[in-house]
Amino acid sequence: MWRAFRRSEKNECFKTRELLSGYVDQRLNSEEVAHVEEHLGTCPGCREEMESLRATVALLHRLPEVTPSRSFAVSPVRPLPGRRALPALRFATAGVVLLLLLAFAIDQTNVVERKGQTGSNFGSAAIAEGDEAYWVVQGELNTSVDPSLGASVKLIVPDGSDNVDAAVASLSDDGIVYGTVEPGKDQVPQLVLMEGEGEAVAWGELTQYTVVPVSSDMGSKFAPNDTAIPSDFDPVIRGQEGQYLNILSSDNEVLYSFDLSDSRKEAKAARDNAWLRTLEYGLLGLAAVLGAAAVALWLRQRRARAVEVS
Amino acid sequence: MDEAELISASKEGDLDSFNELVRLYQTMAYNMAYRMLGDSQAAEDATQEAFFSAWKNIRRFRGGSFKAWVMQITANACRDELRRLKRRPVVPLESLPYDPPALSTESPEDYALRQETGEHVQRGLTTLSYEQRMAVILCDIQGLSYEEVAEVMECSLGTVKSRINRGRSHLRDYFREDGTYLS
Repeated sequence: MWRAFRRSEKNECFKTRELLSGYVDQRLNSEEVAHVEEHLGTCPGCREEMESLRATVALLHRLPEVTPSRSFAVSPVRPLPGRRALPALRFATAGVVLLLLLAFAIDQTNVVERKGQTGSNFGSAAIAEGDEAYWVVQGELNTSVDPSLGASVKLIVPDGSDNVDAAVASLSDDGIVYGTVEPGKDQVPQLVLMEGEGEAVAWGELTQYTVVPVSSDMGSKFAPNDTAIPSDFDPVIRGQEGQYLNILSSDNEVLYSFDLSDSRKEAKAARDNAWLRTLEYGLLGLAAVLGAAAVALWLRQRRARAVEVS
Repeated sequence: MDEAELISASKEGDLDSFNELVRLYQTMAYNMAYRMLGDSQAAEDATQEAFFSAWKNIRRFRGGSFKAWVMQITANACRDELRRLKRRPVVPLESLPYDPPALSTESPEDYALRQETGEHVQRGLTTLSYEQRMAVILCDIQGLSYEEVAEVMECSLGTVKSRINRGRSHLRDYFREDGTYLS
């Protein structure tokens, strides 16, 4: 009973204390005022609470007004330097950077090549440095091995040379056939070949070549596709006396026969991208100049703003 | 020109009229900023920023209490300044305690007591939460009505009452512990 009485009294105190601030400010309605005053009459604790709250408010009211040491008048706004130029400059910089990225992308994806000459035959005089040159030797396929292929094949040997050991190692690793091209006096390439299983009997330097049927696209190695290679195929290349190169299977069956006198030099033109480089450098320079101008203008505006505010 | 005329001239771009308004309200705005931030340099920065922002946005003022509008902008500037100080805390050179001018009617002892009390109160204010501090400063130091406080703080009257009540109680408890003379 006593506990219940104490609890309800505490509850009353809590409710009253929530209202005390409004009471001090005279912001309560008449009902609330009557309630607070009735409670204050009987509760010394809340009375003390109200007095201390009132004293706190009085203390705050007495707080001296601080006087600013300067005026906060706003000075006339001078038009910021280059107010209109900056957005245009930013836009232009962004545009140039975008163009530059596009030029880089074009450069990287090899989209631009020398027009009209790619893959075509042209004389060695027309082959420029940097062009990808190769020898093409006409040959025949033994159609009894794979009747699905055309009888006519081409042997393609990149011009220039590579490391002998690497080429031999590559022969045993992946079954790709390598040969050597050494231009003779009459500019007809001589293939000096290997014998046995990856054992080089060659001299000079080896480069990779590809055998492709005439009908197929260039680019595939030794055989145009996997089905054309017999499962027991072990490439052995033998040079014949005279002008022929035969590629034999492991049981000495002739798979391909090439007439070395019927060879010509071809080239895939190097990408003619000098203009692209010039464009890239130009754009890079332009982007740098525009970007620097934009940053300089922005800094000037910032300084101008700071002066305005101070 | 009265206040309404000054406001409408300011909206037309008349800076002199606006600066008239600045002169009318700058002490009040600066006082609020000073009490909110407890530092004269930070208060000056916030006040200047507030008036600069008010000038830029004067066309957006759609009537009502101009005082409340200015105080609202000052409150926002104080909030920004507090954030800035939190990000880059500095020990300002000019953060000396404010010395109020002596009144001709008071003795040096009274003056010293008043000065000391001012410092105690300022320290007590900084222990309040941002919202409670703002409500107590606006109501008890700046003398704004509950309605004006609600307008400045963009909240309901009930919230204002609660913030003022809790802020004062908290401050009273602080003064009690601190031994500040309450009478």
